[in-house]
Parts: sequence; C-alpha cells; structure tokens
Amino acid sequence: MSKDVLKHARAKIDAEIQVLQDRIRSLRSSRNTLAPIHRLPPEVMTQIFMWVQLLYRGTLERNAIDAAFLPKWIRATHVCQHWRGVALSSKALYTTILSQNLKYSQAVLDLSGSASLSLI
Amino acid sequence: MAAPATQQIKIRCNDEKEFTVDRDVLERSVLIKNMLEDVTEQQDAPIPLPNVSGPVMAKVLEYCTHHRGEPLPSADTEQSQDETRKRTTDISEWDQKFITVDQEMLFEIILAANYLDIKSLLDVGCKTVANMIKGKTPEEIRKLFNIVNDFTPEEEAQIKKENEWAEDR
Repeated sequence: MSKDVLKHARAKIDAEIQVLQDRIRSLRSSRNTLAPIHRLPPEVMTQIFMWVQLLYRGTLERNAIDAAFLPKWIRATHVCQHWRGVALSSKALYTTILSQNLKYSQAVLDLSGSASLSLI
Repeated sequence: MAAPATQQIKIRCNDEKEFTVDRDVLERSVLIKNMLEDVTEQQDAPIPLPNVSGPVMAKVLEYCTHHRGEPLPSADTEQSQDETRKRTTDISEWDQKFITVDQEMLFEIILAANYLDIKSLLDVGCKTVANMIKGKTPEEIRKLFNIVNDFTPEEEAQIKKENEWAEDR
C-alpha cells in the first residue's frame, strides 16, 4: 500500500475511534442521570457544595494555618460534567480569596461575577 | 383547665396516602403554612402534596413532630439566619440518627424538604451529603454515588491543572 493510502486508512479509523469515544462519553453522561443524587436540582447541589466548603473551612476555624484546605472542595467539581456545570455556574461558591493560594484566588475572581468577596 | 384543642389538618400524598396532623407540626413547612394562611374557612378536603410520597412524608412528619415549637425563620431575618446556619456544620445527635437512611430515602427527604420549604430539614440533608463528600477523591465520590467519569479530554486537562492548586498547601 502506498503512503497516501495508509495515511487515509489511519485517518478514517481515527475518526471512527473519535466518534465511538464521543458516543461512550455521551452514554456515560446518560448513565449518570440515573444516579439517585442526580435527582437533586442545581440549587440544592449548590447548597451541598457550600456545605462542603464550610466543612473544609471548619478546619480553618479550629486551626489558623489550615486556610489551604478550602480549595479541596473543588474536588467535588471533578466528579462528573453535571456537578462541574452546576458548580461553575454558581457564583455564590466563589466568595473567598486566599492570600496563600494565588491560583485558587484567580479562579475565584474569574467565576465570582459581581458577588462580594472576602480575603483570608 | 383543659388545653385548647389543636387543629388537625389532613394532607394527601402522591400515592393517595393520607395523614391527619396537628397544624403546628405541619406549619414547619413554609409551603403548607402559607397555604393554610390563605384558606379562611375550615376545609375538610385534604391538602394535596403531589411531589411527596407517603413513606417520605412519614419521615418528614417524624422530623417536624420532633422539632415542633422551635422558632421558624421569618422572611425579614432570613439573611441573618442563613449566616447563622452557615456557621453551624454540626448535626444534632437526634437529627443524625433520623437522617441515617439509605441514599434513595436521603435524596427523597432532601427533595421533599426543598419542595415543602423546611429549611432546617434541607440543611440536615445537605450537610449529610456534604459530610459524605468531604475528604474523598473524585473517584471515591463517584463510587459512593454510582456516578461515572464522563469528562472530555479537554475537561480532564483543565481538572489536572486545578488539582495542582487544590492540593497545594
């Protein structure tokens, strides 16, 4: 087979792989809608994320050096597309800037919109 | 002297299950409280609650009965109450025992509390889920709630970047 024919055959297979991978991701998203927790509406999920933040900050209140624990709440946005979508569109979750963590603070500034901010 | 008779209210759930409950217990729900305030005459017909099933309502009523008589948040103090609520991540012993149910029931209770507008119960439910999430990795959270990873490669790349500062301490 000539180089061109091989190149074309590979490209065709790669395109098919891409289609199948997209389809798998789509099926994974559909499967997630069946999880009982996905019945909770976005405003309730936002409240849950706020409590997760507060639970991490609770450590902060007992121990002043633990401000850095707060960004760990962001793990909740790394679970699935739905949770991430809810969290990224909830401005109320981005109200605290951490002087010790500039990258987290930058993300807060990017996502907070017009929400008032506090500095720790 | 005999105590004044408590008004009894009938409610009907979406599975036709009916409950007859003391008015002050039902008024833990702001939704029902407002409905009752809008009704001027004595009504015999049960209040329909199309978004709540009998078994879930039984749990909600257990909570409302235990907490009857406690102050309700009023509209003008809602913001300050919210601030107070936010500082209290602890769950009382009775509430913890009450909310120790399977995941299906837990989410049904949260949905009912949200629909019926019972803030303290909604908080107990949300705090319970938050406690389940706290300290776990995304994979552990997925396993706990029967969720699978559905991120695109682009989203995975962004998440990897975020992990760098989320774990930076």
